[in-house]
Amino acid sequence: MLESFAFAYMQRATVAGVLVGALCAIIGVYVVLKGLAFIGAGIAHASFGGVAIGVWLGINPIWSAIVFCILTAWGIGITSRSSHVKEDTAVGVFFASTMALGILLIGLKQGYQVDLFSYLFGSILAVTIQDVWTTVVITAVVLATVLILYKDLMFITFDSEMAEVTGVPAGRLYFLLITMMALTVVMSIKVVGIVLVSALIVTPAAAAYQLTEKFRNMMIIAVAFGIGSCVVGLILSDILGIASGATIVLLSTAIFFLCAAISPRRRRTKEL
Amino acid sequence: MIDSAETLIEIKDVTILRHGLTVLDSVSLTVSRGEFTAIVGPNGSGKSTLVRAMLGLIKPDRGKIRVFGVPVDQLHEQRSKIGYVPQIFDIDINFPVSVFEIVLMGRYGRIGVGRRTRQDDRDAAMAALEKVGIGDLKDRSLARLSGGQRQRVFIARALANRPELLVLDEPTTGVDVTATGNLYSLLRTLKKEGVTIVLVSHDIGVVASYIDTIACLNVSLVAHCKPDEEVCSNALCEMYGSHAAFFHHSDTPHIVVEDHPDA
Repeated sequence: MLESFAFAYMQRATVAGVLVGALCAIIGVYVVLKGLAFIGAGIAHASFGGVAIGVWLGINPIWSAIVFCILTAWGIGITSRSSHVKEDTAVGVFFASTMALGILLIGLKQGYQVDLFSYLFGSILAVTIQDVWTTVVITAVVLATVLILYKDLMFITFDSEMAEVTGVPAGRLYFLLITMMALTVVMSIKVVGIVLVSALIVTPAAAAYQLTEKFRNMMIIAVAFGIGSCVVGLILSDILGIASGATIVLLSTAIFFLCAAISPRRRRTKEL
Repeated sequence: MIDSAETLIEIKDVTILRHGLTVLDSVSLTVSRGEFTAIVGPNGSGKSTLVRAMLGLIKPDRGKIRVFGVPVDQLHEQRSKIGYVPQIFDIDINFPVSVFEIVLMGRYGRIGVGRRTRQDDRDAAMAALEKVGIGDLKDRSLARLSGGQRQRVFIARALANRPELLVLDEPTTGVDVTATGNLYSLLRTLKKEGVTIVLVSHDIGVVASYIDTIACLNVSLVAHCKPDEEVCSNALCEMYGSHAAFFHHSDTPHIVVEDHPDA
């Protein structure tokens, strides 16, 4: 049943799945605990605009999407921090406008609809060797950042105000966090697609949250779920001949509900 | 010996506007080193806003704030001399960290970004937990604690830094009478150790005899006085008299001077 793995495209897909699964899960822990899920969805939709700019300019859409998503993430961050606009309102404004920009640009450039479909819904089997290397580098950078700033990122996620009062640069760390979120979103586009990426970020971390009361364990469990969902989802979709991105996301959702059902947190709520 | 007249916090003509409303109107206030100041006033009087401005979390629209003699937005390493106990309803009690880890966070600013905690940081965190009397709860999560215990966790976190200035924003909200009593005896101990304390409360019943000065705030500073001065009780009466609803929170509309054998 696994003879597909003899093919290079399947090997590339697997490597991309493992890396993206881990990357999304790590960032997902912060997203879930800090309540950034809507920003994640906003950045994901902005990546459509980023991809469209790349298509329009005739450059690799991954690069344009990286730049565009980081700028959008900062835009959301600056708008919600500095003015009298709530964070979710800021996301709502950017969410729609960046998507609209993408639609407009794609409309100007005819003949890319098929390609576009793979960005929207993922095409893990079309991952190139260049994509794999880009993902390796980004994952290594994010992983190193999270390891080095482990305690500081945990602090601003738990209590950003106290962090600021005691001299931890909470604002700069927040922007670093949403920058890493933007990178993660772009790296995940090929694997699950723009529409589904926020699920891959939120769901494994949310499932892990059900099982532990330790931050480090939550991260380790989330990574295991993320990688597991991507690899098993890839294999299942190959065997059954179904869409890989959707299979991966539905698998991680199934894990989430299973974890929620057996969660000690739920049992505790009943005890109290 | 520290000069007792040294000014630790200097707030000068601070005005803060929010959504076109004046939340604080040219408030001036100084706090000397070693002093225990209570900021009291009804809800919506701008107490928390004043404290947040004092800590550099909000920029005043007008006026200047200096802490440790430095403009508050230029405090850097001095920030690790500040202990802050925020209002705790903003905190996610299901966050996956233990009590000990939360208290250790109090040291992070001092340790520096990207650096690891060391043994003396862990010792300081443990000592702070022991000081507030919950050393045995160090491995629990917040969700498994009572309101009073949770409040002590955040006080321990503020103390882990061995702060020179301790700022507490409504620390008695949602805490029972016994825990409130414990808190005040802890604050008295800290005051004796030379810690400068700023306590914010809407509950005028908490104002005890070991408080040095009371700042009565109602958008502007109504009075800044010693607890036993007549001007102070008049100010409180005036403030709370127009907010009769707050009488639920305290027994009497004047200052309650607690009897402490050693006070």
